[in-house]
Amino acid sequence: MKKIIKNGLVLGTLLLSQACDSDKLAELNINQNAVTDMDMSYLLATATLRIGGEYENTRANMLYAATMIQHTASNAGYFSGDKYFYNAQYSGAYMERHYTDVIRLYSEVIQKTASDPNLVNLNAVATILRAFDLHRMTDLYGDIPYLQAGNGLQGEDNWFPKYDNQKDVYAAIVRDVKAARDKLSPTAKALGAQDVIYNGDIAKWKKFANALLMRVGMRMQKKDEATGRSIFSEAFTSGTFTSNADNGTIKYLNGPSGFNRNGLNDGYWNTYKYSRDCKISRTFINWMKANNDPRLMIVSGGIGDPTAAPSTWNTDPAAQKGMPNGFNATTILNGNTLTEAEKEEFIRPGVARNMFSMLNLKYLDWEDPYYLISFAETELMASEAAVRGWISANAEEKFRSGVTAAITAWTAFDPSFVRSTAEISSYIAGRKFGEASNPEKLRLIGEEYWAATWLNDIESYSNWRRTGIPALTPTSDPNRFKQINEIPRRLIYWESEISSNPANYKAAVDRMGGDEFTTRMWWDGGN
Amino acid sequence: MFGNVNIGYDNWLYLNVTGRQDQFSTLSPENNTLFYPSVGVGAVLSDVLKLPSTVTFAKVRASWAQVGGGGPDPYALNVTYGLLANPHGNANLGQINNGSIPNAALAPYTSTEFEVGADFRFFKNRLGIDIAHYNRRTTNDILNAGISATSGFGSTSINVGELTNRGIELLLNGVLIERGGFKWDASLNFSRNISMAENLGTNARGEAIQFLNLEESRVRGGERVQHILGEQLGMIIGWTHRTNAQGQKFYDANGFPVRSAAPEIVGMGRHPISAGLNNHFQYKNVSLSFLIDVRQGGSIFSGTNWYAYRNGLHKETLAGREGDLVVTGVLFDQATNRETDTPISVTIPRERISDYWTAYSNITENVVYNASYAKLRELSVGYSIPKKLLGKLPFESAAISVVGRNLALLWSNVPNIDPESGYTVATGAQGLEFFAMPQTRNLGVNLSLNF
Repeated sequence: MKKIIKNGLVLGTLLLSQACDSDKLAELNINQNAVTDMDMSYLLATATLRIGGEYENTRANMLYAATMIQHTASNAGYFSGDKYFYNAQYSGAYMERHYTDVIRLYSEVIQKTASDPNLVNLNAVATILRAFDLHRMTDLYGDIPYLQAGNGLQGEDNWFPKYDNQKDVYAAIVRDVKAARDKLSPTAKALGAQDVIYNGDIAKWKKFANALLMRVGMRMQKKDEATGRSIFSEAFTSGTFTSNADNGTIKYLNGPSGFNRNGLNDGYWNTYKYSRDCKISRTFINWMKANNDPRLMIVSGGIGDPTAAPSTWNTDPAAQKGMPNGFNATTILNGNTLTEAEKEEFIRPGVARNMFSMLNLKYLDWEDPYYLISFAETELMASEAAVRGWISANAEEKFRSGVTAAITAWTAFDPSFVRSTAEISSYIAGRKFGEASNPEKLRLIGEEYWAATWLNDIESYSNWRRTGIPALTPTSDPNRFKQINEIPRRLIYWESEISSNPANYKAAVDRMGGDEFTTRMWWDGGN
Repeated sequence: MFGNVNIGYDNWLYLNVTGRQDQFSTLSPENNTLFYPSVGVGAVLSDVLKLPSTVTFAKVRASWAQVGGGGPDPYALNVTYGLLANPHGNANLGQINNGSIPNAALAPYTSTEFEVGADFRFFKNRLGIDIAHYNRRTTNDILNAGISATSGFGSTSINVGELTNRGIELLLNGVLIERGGFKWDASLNFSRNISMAENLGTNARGEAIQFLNLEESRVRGGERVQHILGEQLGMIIGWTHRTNAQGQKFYDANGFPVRSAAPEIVGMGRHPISAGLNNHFQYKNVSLSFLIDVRQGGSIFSGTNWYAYRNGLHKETLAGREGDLVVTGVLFDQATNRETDTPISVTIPRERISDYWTAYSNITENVVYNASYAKLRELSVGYSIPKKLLGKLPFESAAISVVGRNLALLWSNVPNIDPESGYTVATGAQGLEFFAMPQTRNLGVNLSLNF
């Protein structure tokens, strides 16, 4: 002991800092520059504007849906839907962006406003739009996360969302939208300017909810007609759009930033000008010309170079010519698709694709509306429902009303798009709906629906898959993905999910029977 | 609060004990304190035992220590909202700020390490060996783990069950030659580290978590870095070329390689072995020294080479441009998604060779390389100006040297890129490369003057 004290070096340093105040410590972790509470309507507005975001609309709508449905055509390889190429980024883009940009904001709004009776309108509109966007998502991909989608903040169970069977997604959409529709209240707090679709008009929201239910019900026609029919007729009776003033469109602005602008149009023209590389499809132009469609010079901006002065464009309706789908700048000269005269013109220096009709720049402004659901669609759906005996309405009346609406709705994009009543009546009479047989009537309705959904090509694509109308011939480029011999029936899932959500991804793929372009989703005849 | 006690006995035996209590402001008040002690013992054997005369100094040491830490980022526990820069007409636009799900239940991590070591010096300090073995176990490590973006968020911070790191470190140094004004001393350091993901925690259903997603590769084809239960940390996973039980490769009817049904382990992101050799030569006033750095055992997924294959820029893609590439293997039926046992042999036509190489690069293991390398890190030549030459100048001493850094890559297995490349310093991305800039070689001159 003594030795230790004598030889040892005892260095004791006991530092006692002053006792820590735990509250002060916790306070350090509160960000003085951030807000922990916010008016949820601000999130609603942001999420709604994001539905029309450039990245995913360019990829899912412009590059894939519009070309697959043969509204547009392109010789460029990156317009993947024209020749059925698979590009992982383009195919997965809608899934990549909408869960984080759109759905999680709606889910947060719904959760935060669930218990306040004064905020029912906010809660209901967020529910309706969440269901709308996820309906689009499921129509593009098949089985998708719906129930747990965007709910990451509500618990660990939601960190790896389960992919719900499309049948269940549809049932949940119907349930959610009906409940929201019935909850809308003129006495609760109004949404006002925060609602960038209807400016807070509750009556219009009720009609929108019913329009969405009608769309959902009609989509089920092929797989489960009984249920589809009952959903459709309930919504129809409850009351839907009565004029173009009710059109469900997002009101965009000229700026100041990207969020404020119509993203689809940003891609087609303003910023990215991708429409230089795509033209109106031969299928669509020929159809419009064959029927003397007054929309020919609305849809088409003429023939020429879109970046050159408008005075150089040929806007003679008779001269309009569509680009055939499925070729690149070399293969288009093979075979007999183009006439000899056309081939000669194509190879003239500086011409190539500019010999075909271009998209009209007048509906590609930043502030032009972005379509969700239109009055034309609801009228045409009602016409089809009448033909099928789902509702008691006059099919011909609805047909006429729907086609008229489709043509007159264009004035919202540009006043020069106005067409005279005489022109419109003569066009409709030329379709000869009244004297057609029932299958013929369905064909006429389907084709008009295809024309009415120009720019909303995701919807045209879904309706075509359900009905097979219009009759389209698949393209057959030798490099098409996995040598498929039909138009793709879906987009392939976002590849990141394979490794970030493997168990649920695999379960979905096993249930659907594959993750291919050709895998059929539930309403399209699959599982 | 921190306390430290050092006790020495008889000038040869030492004991050091510490205790520390921390409170972390970045964690929530329920879980933010941690106490961790440590104890270390060292014995200078050369002072107490009779050792052979060649042994100038011998010390052995052992220690057991705990270290802890909290979440590194402040403000990460709460959901916060923000306004977007511009409104939309009369509408205000708001957003959720968090891209990562805040975890209020985050607890501090604890790291427990046991280390034994010895320090021997021989021949009057001309040769020294320092060797240590350590075994560190970290519990509740805080990691930013990837989750499915369909939840609305891409990641969350979680406490990870149990990770271990063990290894050895060796330092050898010595004065190899010292005579007639010439001196050569060298030192060699070597370390080997084996890590292991012992336990990654349990999920909401109580099942053991099998893996954690860290960084995804920038080519976004499903390749990423993961911690996998029972494997070393930071494994690279990706697609392999699908093979049957006999090891034969599958190709589809076009002759394109078919990838495995699910991603598999294709490499290890970190190098378990690192070593360095430092040599210093001195003759009168001239000195020369160089440092070689070695890393061994890790792999790298090269995004640059992935692009090079797809765009026909990689040297390997020269093959087949005349329509002369033949592949042989077993047929995989794409239409039915089934393996067959039909052998196939396909000559890839010239027009499709680019698609072949694209499919080739989609097989991750074709663009994952052994990233072991050695570099000449530094070479310097110096001259110490003799006093006579300084003369009347006001300097005590002066020296001039030329130094070069990152001068040469001595060996590497990775084509086209520097094996040390990475695109972020995040630990979760070790082993992923994407268009890294080549390392720069530095040459410089140093002038040192003492007043």
